[in-house]
Amino acid sequence: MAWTWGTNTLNPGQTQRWWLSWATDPGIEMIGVQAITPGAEIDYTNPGMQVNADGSVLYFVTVTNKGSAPVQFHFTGSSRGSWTWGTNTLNAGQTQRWWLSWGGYPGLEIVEAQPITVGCEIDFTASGVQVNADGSSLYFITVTNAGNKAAQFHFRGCVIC
Amino acid sequence: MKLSIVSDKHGNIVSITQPGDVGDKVSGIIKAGVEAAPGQTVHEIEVPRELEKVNLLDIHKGYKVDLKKGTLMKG
Repeated sequence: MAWTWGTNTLNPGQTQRWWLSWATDPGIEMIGVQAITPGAEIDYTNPGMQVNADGSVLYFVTVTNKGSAPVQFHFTGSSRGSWTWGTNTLNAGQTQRWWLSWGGYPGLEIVEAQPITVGCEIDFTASGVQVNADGSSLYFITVTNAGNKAAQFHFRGCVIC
Repeated sequence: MKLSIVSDKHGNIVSITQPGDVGDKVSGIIKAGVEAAPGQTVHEIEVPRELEKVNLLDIHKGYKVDLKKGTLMKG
């Protein structure tokens, strides 16, 4: 389900780190920015997620105004159902590069690391895809435990096309 | 139950993986792997039956890898 949230401004050259909070796990979220001000580039990244003790879930977003004037923007996104795969642990401060393998090409997979341990931010970057001679496909994802204790997480994702 | 465990050169656990679909939806993933950082090793370790129902994070915190035997031991 698509959504658009908030109206925000940001000075030129500024970067802000945001967190968007859901009362419970919303499912896999794809989050971006809808630029309102013409002619200004707004860059954004989705560093990761955190689950809190009350069950609420945070998605983090960084936003940078690359233009030369203040800009206005909305957050926009879409929630989807997902598969969930594996149960993993990772020490605080550690980064790991993973590969997930499919027997064939599964389509365009959006893959994220879903934290389970409360209070620990898990950051992730899905960096690429590879097809092998046997027809299997690999998706690569880098996962960082940005929290201060060992944490548990799943991989989850969905095919969007 | 077999776990994929990354340890440092002293056998201290860096990460544990229990592979497989967790929810109702089928991912189609046939296998997965992690690249060990320098000084780290990936171990495939058959876990004793008494640990199969122990939370993965409790194993992570309470055990280390016996590098000579390739098994888990209390840390």
